[in-house]
Amino acid sequence: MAPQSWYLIVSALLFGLGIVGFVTRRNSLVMFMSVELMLNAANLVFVAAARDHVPARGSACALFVIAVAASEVAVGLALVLALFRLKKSVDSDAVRELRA
Amino acid sequence: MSTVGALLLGLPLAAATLIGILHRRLSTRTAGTLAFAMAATCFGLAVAAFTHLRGLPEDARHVAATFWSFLELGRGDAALTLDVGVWLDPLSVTWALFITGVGSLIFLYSISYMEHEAGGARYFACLCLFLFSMLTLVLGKNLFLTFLGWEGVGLCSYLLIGFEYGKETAAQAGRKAFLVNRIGDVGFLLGMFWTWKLFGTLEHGELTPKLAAGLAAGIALPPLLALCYFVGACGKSAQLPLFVWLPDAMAGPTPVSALIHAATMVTAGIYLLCRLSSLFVAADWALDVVAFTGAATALFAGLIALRQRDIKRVLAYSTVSQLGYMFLACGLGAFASSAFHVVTHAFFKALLFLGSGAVIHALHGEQDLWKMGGLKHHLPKTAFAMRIGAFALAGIAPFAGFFSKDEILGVAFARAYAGDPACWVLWGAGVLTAALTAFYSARMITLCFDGSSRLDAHSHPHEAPAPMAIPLNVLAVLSLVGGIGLGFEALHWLPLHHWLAPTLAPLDLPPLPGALLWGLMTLAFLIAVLFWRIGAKWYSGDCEPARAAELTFPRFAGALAGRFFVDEIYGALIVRPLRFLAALALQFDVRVVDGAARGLGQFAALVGTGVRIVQNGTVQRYAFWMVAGAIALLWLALG
Repeated sequence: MAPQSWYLIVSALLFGLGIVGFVTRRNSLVMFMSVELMLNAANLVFVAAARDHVPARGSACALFVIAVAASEVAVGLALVLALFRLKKSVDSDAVRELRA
Repeated sequence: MSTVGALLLGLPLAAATLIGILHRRLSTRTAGTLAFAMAATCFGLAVAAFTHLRGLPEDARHVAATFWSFLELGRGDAALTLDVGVWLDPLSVTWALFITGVGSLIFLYSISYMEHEAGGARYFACLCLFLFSMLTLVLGKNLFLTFLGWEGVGLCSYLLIGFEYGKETAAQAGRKAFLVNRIGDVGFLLGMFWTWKLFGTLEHGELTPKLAAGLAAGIALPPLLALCYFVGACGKSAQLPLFVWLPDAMAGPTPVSALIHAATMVTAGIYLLCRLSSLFVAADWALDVVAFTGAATALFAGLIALRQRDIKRVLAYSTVSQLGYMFLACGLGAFASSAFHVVTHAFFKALLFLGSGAVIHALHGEQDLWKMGGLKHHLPKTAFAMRIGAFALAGIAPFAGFFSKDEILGVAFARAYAGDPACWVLWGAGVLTAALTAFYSARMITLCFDGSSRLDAHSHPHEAPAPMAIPLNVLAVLSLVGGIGLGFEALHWLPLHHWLAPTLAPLDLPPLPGALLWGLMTLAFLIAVLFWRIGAKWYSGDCEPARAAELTFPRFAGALAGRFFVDEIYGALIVRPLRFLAALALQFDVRVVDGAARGLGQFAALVGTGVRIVQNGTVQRYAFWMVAGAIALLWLALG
């Protein structure tokens, strides 16, 4: 069985990928996927911890995250859709109205 | 009687409110008729009050009525209760009689005079408000109400002088009257506070007994207290050095000049002096100040009146001069003589102003005496009435002014005769002023009505319509009989004096022997006639003697025509420094106060400019900062 540190390293890599993707990409759908990547990086830590320490609590947290992620997808995709209707584009640079 | 009192104050207020609210809808004629009906009713009420008081025994001739309590402060001895109510006594009713009587004649006159002016209803609303204020001043049962009325007439005078507010001169004259009157009001106010502190009352009915009790108990009355009131009276009654507003007040419509600046409002100062006569008599040297100020004002204004071109200005300065006589009489302790002159002056000065109004009306606004002349052929009735008024002003027997003025001069002479050398100066000034008065009255009449016409060729003067002629005729009759009817000292016929006696401080002066009285009267009469003849001669024809005199004393003549440059001196000494101070204050406001407020705003904006760099609206940038923040927090937590 692989040691827990491997899972943590993979999780950290996934999280880093998510951050880099979110900060660098301009396509809001890709940014959205990056967010999912970060969420699932966290999930990986939870299930890894569940296997070695407290199974029920870790799994429950992972399930929570999946549920929250699902609802977040619903809201987020609706936002992207609204953005597209407004700007005919899903590029995040198209929305800069809040610039001071 | 309390109903009469309430109506005397309530009717003018109601009329003012009604006309004021509806002034855009009412025609001048409707508003004027309403106002005149109100004023005439008030006169009837004043007559009713007069007959009622006449029916009472002499020492019980006063009626007090309280309507409601205006103010209650404190408890026990220090309690201050100010009631709204009226105080009817011979003094207040005398004033009320001529205010409403002469007032209603002027209201009647105004209907026709103001017919073609814009805003006639507004004019009548102000006039009613003025009548209300004046009656409050006179009939109010304590000094506080008198003060309210005092302020009210100040306000109305501002409104009416500046009636044609589109004209810069009128607006300025209104402001000037208001501001100069404020100086006097400060004196009145201080006097009231001080009186309250010393005697614990402001009621007209209580002041004299409390004063007598206090004097008996050994309280020394500070002369400065009396002088406080005197300053107030100086402002309202246009005495040196506060007389400057009155001549400028002629910027208002002519009936206003007649009502406010000749017949009623300016007599408020005399009313105050008479009302507080016992206080003034007890206040040591205060009366001397009053007498000398009065004599100086009479002479000073009489001199200025000699060379004014504007017919209304001549009359304005003559008013100031006659008010000086009244102050002189008060200062000599002869309050009844002063009141006598107030009454006769109200008759003849209203007549002169209304007459000059008829002339100005006929000439379509021309006020320059040098552009009149020969008007007796065009306006025979007006000329006749004006001549009577001028005779009364000049003090020619048997017209009204002769008796009252002669009495004042008689008192001055009697004081000097009784051994007060300073009174020779006062008497001399009074006689000199009488000569000047006769001279400028004759000059005015001659320039206006006699000689050949200097009118514009296309001018066709016409006699005034009936509503203007009736008041002139009534006032002419009053100017003829008003003097001899109210008092003739040499014949011991003094009904007005006896009527007023219970309310005024008595004159402590032995009467002059009869022969001396007759002699003084003859002297005054001769002086008046002589100087009238001189004045008429100088200014008839091509005015050759007058021109010669001007050439002989060019600087003096220039000073007279320039009104002794009082306005210029005030301008340099007071107005310009004040303007400078105002400009300084404005700079302080703009730079420091506004600067502080604007600086705060600019500081906030500056901070905002600094902070807004991070708010560029790009989601990625926000996310970057979030990550950076998270890393920094992590660093802190771990390190």
